[in-house]
Amino acid sequence: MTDLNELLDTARSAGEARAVDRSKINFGGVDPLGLRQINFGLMDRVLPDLNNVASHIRPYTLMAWAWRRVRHVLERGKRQSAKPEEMRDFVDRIEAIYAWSQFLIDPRADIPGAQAMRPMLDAKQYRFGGEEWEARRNMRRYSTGFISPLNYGPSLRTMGWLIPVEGAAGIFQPDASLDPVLDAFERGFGAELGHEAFNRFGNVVVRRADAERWGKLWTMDKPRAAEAKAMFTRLGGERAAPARQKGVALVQAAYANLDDEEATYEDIRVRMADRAEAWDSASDRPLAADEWRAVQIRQLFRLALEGMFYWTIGALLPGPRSTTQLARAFIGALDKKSLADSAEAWILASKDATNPVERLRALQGVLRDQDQLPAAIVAALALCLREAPNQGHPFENPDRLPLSRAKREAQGWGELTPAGFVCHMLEIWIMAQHAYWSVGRGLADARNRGKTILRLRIVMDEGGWTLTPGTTRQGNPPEPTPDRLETATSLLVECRRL
Amino acid sequence: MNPLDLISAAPWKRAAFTTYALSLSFFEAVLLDALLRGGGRNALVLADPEGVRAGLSEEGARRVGRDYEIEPVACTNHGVFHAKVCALFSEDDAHLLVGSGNLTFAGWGGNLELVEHLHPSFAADAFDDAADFFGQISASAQIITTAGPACETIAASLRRSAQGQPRPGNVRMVHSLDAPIAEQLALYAEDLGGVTRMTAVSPYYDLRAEGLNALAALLEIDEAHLHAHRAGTVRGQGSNAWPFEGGKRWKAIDAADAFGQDDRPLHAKSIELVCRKGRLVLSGSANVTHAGLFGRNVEAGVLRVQRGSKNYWVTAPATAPARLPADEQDENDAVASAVGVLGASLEGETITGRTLAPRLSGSANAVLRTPRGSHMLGSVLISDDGHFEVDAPRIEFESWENGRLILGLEQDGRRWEGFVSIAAALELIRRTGSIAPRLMAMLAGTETPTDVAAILAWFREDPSRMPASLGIGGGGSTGGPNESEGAVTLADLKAAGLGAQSFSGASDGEATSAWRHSMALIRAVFRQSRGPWGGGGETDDDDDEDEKDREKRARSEEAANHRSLQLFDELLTAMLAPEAEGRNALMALSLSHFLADRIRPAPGKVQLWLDKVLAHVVALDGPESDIAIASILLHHAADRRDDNAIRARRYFLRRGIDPASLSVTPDVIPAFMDLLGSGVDLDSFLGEVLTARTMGEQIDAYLAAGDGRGPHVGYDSLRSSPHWPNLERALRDPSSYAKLTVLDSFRPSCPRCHIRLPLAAGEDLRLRGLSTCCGRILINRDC
Repeated sequence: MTDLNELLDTARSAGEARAVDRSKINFGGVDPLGLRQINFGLMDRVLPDLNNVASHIRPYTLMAWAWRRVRHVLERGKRQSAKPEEMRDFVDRIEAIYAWSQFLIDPRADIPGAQAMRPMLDAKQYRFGGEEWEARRNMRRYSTGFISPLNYGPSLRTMGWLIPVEGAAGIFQPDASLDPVLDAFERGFGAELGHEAFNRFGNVVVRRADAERWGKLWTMDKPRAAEAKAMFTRLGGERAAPARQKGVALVQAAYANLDDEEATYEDIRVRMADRAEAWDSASDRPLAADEWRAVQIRQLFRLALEGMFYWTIGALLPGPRSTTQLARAFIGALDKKSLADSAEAWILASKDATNPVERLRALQGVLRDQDQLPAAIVAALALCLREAPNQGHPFENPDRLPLSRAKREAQGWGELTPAGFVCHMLEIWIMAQHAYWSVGRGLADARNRGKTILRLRIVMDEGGWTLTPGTTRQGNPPEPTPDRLETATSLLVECRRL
Repeated sequence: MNPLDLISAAPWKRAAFTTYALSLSFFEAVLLDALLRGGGRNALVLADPEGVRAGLSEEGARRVGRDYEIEPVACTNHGVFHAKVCALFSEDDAHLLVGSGNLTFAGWGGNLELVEHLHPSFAADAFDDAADFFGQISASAQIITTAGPACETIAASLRRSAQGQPRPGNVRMVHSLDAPIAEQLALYAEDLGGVTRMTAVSPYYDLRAEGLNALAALLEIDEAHLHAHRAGTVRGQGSNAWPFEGGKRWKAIDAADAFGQDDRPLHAKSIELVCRKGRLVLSGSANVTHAGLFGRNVEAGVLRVQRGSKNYWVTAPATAPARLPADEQDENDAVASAVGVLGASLEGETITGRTLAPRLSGSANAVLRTPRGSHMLGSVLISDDGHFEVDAPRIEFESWENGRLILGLEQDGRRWEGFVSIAAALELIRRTGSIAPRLMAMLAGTETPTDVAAILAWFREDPSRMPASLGIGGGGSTGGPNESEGAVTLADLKAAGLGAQSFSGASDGEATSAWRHSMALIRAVFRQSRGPWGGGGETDDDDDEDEKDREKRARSEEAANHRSLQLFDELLTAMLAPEAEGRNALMALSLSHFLADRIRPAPGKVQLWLDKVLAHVVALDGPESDIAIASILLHHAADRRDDNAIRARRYFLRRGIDPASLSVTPDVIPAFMDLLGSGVDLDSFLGEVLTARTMGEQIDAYLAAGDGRGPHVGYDSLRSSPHWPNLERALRDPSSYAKLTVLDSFRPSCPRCHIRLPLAAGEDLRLRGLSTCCGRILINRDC
C-alpha cells in the first residue's frame, strides 16, 4: 500500500495536472464463471474425500506409522510430553526421508515435490536440523509434503488414518485399529529402526546410502496386503463414507462390465457415465451411475460455457461488440440447416443421448477453433439442458449457475429465436456470471489483503462489450475439472480390487 | 499518477465519486477493491443518467445499492452531468481528485487522462469551491437528484476539512453550476493582464468550433493552438476530434510537453492561457466545446493561477487529425434514450424514489427486478415532481443475499429504471465500521475463512454485538429501544465524529429498525448449511499454474480456521455466561453448526461444543428450534449409553417440552450428522424417546398408584430397585406410604436430619431418584 504522506508530498509539489498512469494490475483466475464448485459438490456425491493427487496407499501408512512412532519416542525416552513442534518436526522428517528415499530409487516416483527435492538427491548426507531444514520443512508442510492440504492431508483425516489430538493443532495419532497394519509395515524395515532418525526428536543426520537402502525396503509401489486391506476398508469398504462405498463399487462394476484388462481410465469413465443400454445388463449398472453421469453432464456444461467465454474473448480481440453483434457472429458460425425458428425447437427439444464424456472430448478437440467451436458448444448445451434436473441439490448455490437454474431460464427463453437465445446466454450465463464471480473473488482477496489480480476479462464499456485493458490474446483454452477417477482407480489397483 | 494508490492509501470512512460514463464492473472490480484494501467503505457514485443506464445493463454487477450507492444526477437543461470528481474522507481529513477520467477502465488508465490530487494543506480554496459544487448539486434548479442530502453533507465535510488552512488563491476548483467555465476563465485572465496565447488539449470540439469561437471572443484572442494527439483521441458517439468546419485560425500543435509522450488515446482536457502577468492552466472534465465551456453541461476542473510565471508548455508544429466518417455527427445531436432513469431507496418494506430523466408523473406499474426474478409491485402514483412511494413486502432479506435491486416503472409503453439502495445495508456499513465488508460477504454467502475468523473476533471483542443479544426472533421482529443500545460500539462513536449519520439521511428510529433487520439476517445466516470450504483440498479458484498461490491460500485458510475455533471457544464462554441465563444458547448452537459445517473440526471438539451449549438451552422457541431438537437427539443418540433415550426424554421434560410434540429433521444439521452421527437414525431414536419413561415419570406413576389416583403400572424400574420391597409394602400400607419422603427436586442433604448425604447416596438420589436416610426412603421426582 502506498504511503499517504508520500502521495501528499508529490501532490503538493505538482505544478499542474498529471497524467493518469497505465493500469498495472496483473491478470489471473482460472474459474471465470464460478462454475467449478458445483462440480466438486457433485463429485463429493460419488467419490467424496478424494482429490486428484493422493493416489497411493503407502503415504497413508507412512504418515500413520510416523505419528505412532512419536508415541514410541516419548515412551522410550520415558517422557510424559513433548512440544508439539518437536513432534511435528519428527513426523515431517520421516515424511521427507521417505520422499527422498523414493526419489533416490526412482527419480520419477509419483510423489509431489520432485523439483524441490532435487538438491537433496546429490547430497551425500542431509542434516535434518538448522535453517535449511526448517525452511524446507515449512515449505513442504503446505505444498509438497504428504500432510499438505493440497496432497494427502485432507484424506488422511477424513478417511480415518489420522485422528486429530484434541487441543493440539496439527498433532495426530493413528486409528488404533491400524496397529497390525503399521506393525506389518514396520517389519519391512525392522532392521533399520535403530537409526537415530527413527528414535529421537531434533537434529539428526541421514546418509544418502541409508535413505537409498530404506527406499527399497518401503517402496511406494509395493504396499503390503494388510495395508491394502486397511485402505479398501476406508476407501470403499465398511469404514468408508456411504457415498464413496457406492462410488467405488461403481468403478469396480464399470471395470467388470468392460471385461477388458487393458481398459483405460477413460474407458472406465465413459462406462460409468453410460446409460443402462450400454451396459451388458441394466442390472449390472449401479444406481451411483446416475450420480456419475450428473458429474459428467456438469463437467460438460461448465466446459461448454467456459468455451463460449473463450470464444467471446476471441470475438472481441478486434474491438468492442454489442451482445447482438456477438450473437450474430456465434450463430453465423453454425450450420444454417441446424437452426430453427425458435430456441425451443433448436436447442431445448434435443433427443441427444450421447455419453457426456464423449461430448466433452469432442468439445475439447475444437476449443482453439473459433469457427468450429460454436457448433460443439450448442451440441454440448443441448445435451446438458436435456438431462438437467428440475431441482438442484442443497449445496448448489444458485449464483454458481446449477443446471436446474439454467434449465428454468432456458425454458423461459424458449420462444426466442436462436439469436435471441444466444443473446440471453451471453448476457446472463457468460457476462453476468463472469463479472459477478470475478468481482466477488477480487473483493474477498481485498478484504483479506490477499493478492491483487484482475480476473475480469470482459466488461461493458463505451462501445459495447470490450476486453479489459491488457487482454491482448485468448490465452489457453479451458479444461475440464479433474474428476478424481484416476485417484480412485489407482488406489483400487493397489488394493488389488481392480 | 495512479489515483488508485490514493484510494487504497487510507481507511476512508466515506468516498464520493462523480462521473458521466460508468462501468459498474470496473467500479466493483477495481475501485471498490482498492477501497476495501485500504480499509475504506461507504462509497457513493453520482452519475449522469447515461452512466446509470450503462450500469443497469451490467447484470453481473450485483453489489450496487448494498455495498455502495449510485445516485443519478440529471440536468434539466438537456446538458449532461459531466464532472469527474472524487472526494475521500477520513475522520478529520479529506482529499480531492479532479480529472478527466470517467469511472471506467478507460478513464482510470486505459486512456490518456489528467488528474489533480488536492489537499486542504495547499489547496484550501479548491475545497471551498468543491463544497460549493456539491452544495449546488443539491440546490441548483439545473439539477434533479435524490442525492441532495448526501451532497449537502459532503459539502459540509469539505468545508470542515479546509477550516483553518491558508487560502493562497492559486489552486481553485471551477465548476459550471455557478457560471460558465469560460466566463470564469476570462475573469482570471483579465486579472492577469489578458491572454497572449491559448493552447487547448481536448478530445472533442464542436464541428463548427462554436465553443472555441465564443471562448476566443471572450478572451479577445484571434487564434488558438490545439493539441493534435499522435495516438488519436477517444472516439465518442456524436463527437468530433477537431473543429473540422470551424475555420482556419485553429493551429495544430503537439503539446506533449503537458503530459509527456503517450501512445494512449487522448481523453484529457486542459487549457493553458499564457497571460501578460502570469499563466492559467485549467484541467478537468470540460471539453473545448460550447456545451463544456458555456454552461449547458455540469463540468468541474482545477484552475491553477500562476502569477508571474514564465513557464509555459513547449509546443511543436503538428498536423490536424484527418476527418473520419465517425466525426460527421455533431455532439449537439444527442440521441434520445428509450429508458428513463429514476432513483430509489428501500427502507423496511417501502421503496421511496423519484423519476429523474425524463420527468414522469401520474400512474405507472412498478416491477422490481432481482438477480433471481421479478416482483410485480402493482400500480404506483407519481407526484408532479416525480416523487413516489411503493410497498415492497418481503424484498429486503432477498436483496441482502442477492444484491442489485432494479425498480422499473412502466407508463404507456415507456419505461423508467433505477437502482434501489438498501437502507439497512447502508446502516450496517455505518454502524459496524471496517467489519462491514466481511458481514456483507457472510450475508451474500461468499465469506472466506478469514472473514469468519474476523467476524468471530469482532463478536468476541464485544459479545453484545451478537444478534441474539438484540432479542430478535429471526423474522425481523422489533425489539425495545433498550435492546439496540447494547450494540453501539466505539466504532459507532468514532463514525459519528465524521457525521456519517447525516450522510444516510435517516432518523434514529429508522436506523434502529434497519440495524435490527440486518442483525436478524446475520443470525439467519448461522442457520444455513453452506458446506465445507475447499473439499479435499480443492478450491474453485485454484490456479494450478501457480502453486505458490495455492500454498499461500491453503496456509492462510488453515490458520484462519484454527483461529476461528479458538475464538469460538472464547466466545462460547461469554455467550453462555450465567448472566446470559441461556438467552444465547440457541444461537450458540446454530453458530456451532455453522462452524462445524464450514471448518469440519475434530468430532471431539464438536461434541464438546454440544456438551456446553445444550446444558444452557432453556426453551426450544425461536428460529433455531429445529436445529436444537435435532442436535439434542443426536447428542443423546450418539452417546450410545443404554439409557440414552431416557436421558434425552428427561432433557426435554425438564424444559417443559412434551417429546410427543416434537418432530425431527436431520437435514438441518448435516455437519453434526456427518461428524457425530455415523449410524444414528434420529427418527428412530425419537421413537425410542417417546416410548421411554424417565425415573421421574415412573416415580410419579408410583405415587399416583399409592395415592389411588392411578393404576399400578408404569414404574418397572422401581420394581428392580433394591428398595422395591419397602416401596411395594408402602403401596399396601398407608402408614409406610406416609413415611416416604418425596422431594420435588434434588437436594444433597436429608430433609429430616439436614445432614449431607454420603456421596454415593446423594448420587443415587440425584440420578436414580431413590436413596435412604433416617430410616426412610427419599424419593426425588426430578430425575
